[in-house]
Amino acid sequence: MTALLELADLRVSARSGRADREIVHGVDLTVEAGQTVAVVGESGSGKSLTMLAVMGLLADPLHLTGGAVRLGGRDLTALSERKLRAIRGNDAAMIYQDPMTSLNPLMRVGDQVIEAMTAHGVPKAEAGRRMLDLLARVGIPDPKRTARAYPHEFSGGMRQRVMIACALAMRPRLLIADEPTTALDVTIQQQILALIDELRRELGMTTIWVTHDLGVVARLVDRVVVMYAGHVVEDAPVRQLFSAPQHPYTKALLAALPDPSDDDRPPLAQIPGRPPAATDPVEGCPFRPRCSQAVDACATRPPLQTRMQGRAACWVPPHEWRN
Amino acid sequence: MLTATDLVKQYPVRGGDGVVHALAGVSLTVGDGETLGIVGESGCGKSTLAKLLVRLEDPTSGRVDLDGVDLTELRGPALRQQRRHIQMLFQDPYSSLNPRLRVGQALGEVLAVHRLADGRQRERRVGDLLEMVGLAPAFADRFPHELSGGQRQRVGIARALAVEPKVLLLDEPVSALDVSVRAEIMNLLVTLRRELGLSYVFISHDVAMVRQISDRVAVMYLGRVVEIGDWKSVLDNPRHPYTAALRAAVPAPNPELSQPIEATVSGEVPNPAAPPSGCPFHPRCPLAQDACRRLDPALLPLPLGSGHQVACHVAAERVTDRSGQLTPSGS
Repeated sequence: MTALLELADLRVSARSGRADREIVHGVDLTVEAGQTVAVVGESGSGKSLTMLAVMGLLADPLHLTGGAVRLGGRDLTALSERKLRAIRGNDAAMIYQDPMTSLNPLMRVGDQVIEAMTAHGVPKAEAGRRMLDLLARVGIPDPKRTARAYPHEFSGGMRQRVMIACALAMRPRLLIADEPTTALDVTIQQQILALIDELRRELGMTTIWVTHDLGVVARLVDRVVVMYAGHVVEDAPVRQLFSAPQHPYTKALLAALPDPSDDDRPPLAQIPGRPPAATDPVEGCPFRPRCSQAVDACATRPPLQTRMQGRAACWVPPHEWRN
Repeated sequence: MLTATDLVKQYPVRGGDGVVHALAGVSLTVGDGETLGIVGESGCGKSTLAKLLVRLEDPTSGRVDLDGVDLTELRGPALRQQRRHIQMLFQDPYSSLNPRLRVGQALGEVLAVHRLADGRQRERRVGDLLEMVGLAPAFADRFPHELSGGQRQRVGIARALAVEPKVLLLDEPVSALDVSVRAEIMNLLVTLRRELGLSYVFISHDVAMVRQISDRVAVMYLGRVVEIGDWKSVLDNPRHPYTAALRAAVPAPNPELSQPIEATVSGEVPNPAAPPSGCPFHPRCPLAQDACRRLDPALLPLPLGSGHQVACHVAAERVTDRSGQLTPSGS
């Protein structure tokens, strides 16, 4: 296997007054070509920021303060905005939670799909033909007629289909899907997840799902990266992550979910305290103040270390955990 | 006991002469101390139902009774008095909290408006309410923007409890929260229900959360209840194909299970201004038969009792019209 995407010590900060406040604290991550990976974490974990940084889409006051993003061996952080634009949409594409933020409300949906291709040098006539095929492929009924509609005339699910058509028009090698179904009804969610997964197979795309939904994770991905307070705390094959979590935060997160087969419906496990605020970072392990397994060593930040088939950033191995 | 009887709500279509059938005749009851979960997607009428139950809006027809009092008939002070008994909690209480009022002031205001406590007593009651929802007394001095999502939801619950209601209407109360915070709020709701003897109407699209808290569950689709009964019976042994599809659409957090990715239900929810003929679910239903296209099925008890009711010709193994008249199949 070859690495398609490599993040090395990726750091993102927010400008605040004259100071910089670091929010993503050095993410190391390698995604092999063809893998399907989930990046999970709660709000403020830095999962979406990390992926926006990959795409070079951080907007002021957010900015990259260190590290490298290599796509197919090429460091994207060294590229000009013009060169980056040539890569975005062509080699790597992203779909978001709310399609209204990336669709132009004043432009017919068909024209937007065409533009996703002409921007990368596809002749207009060819782009027009492919647009109709693309709309049909993502499940838009009667593409000839609907291509002339504006985004506001579509339901949320249909808009998401259009965004998928735009993102996949150039057959990118890497797709980043950032909570693409969170705002949709569950039956529509299932349709969109199924569609993206089908297209992923068809195009052989490497796919990164950014999500908080561990059900989606269990069903769709090979490997899971867990983020907490701007750090990767665990990175493991999906079955290992659920059956033998190697970080106390992962274990606590899984325990907070209701067990759909338990008829006694016991209270859900809680995690005491809150994640640290970006303004008030924790010294050492970021999970230490909330961790039931914390020991003195945790005052020093643990590096990601090999654990079974994955990696975890914890000084205390699971066989030493107290209950 | 809270009872809704044949509630209908129609809205005029803007700029047209049609009507939207937001609720097409919904009847249900919530017993003392009981939690009724309501599951459904956008356009199913669950939010309209909530507004009618708290009398934020009037039904086109039908009635709502609380402990034998017809709420739809009440006006003025009598209505205000009754309203105290049913309180509503929204998905994001931030939108309903005044950003310029400290938490203590916001709670104190509710107590003042309803003349429930003054002076020292009011202060003590604010402290008690905060304690009830697991917040330290110091939170009385905080502004809403200084609170996390979970803390805001706790304040929302405290405010709803300030008037000592009998029923809480919870409209997607944990949908905007992170997994770990969601667990806290769910546990808090279960504890408060037990300690205060509250009844809940728990409205959500999240089947897992509805399963966690409900005694009975109603599944709504296009302004109707299509299935209702004991939580385990409805959610773990659903009889309506829509309930089954909702269950299948939510993957379990377990990678050892084989969970097909194929969508179980195609298409989208039809426009409530132009509902389909017959059963409202038939255009999306994998089991639809000829009768389903012609006749809108009545919500009828399953043969084996247990209070489980379903509005489906196929599941009930008999073809009825909306009023429950048996119709010979194939005619």
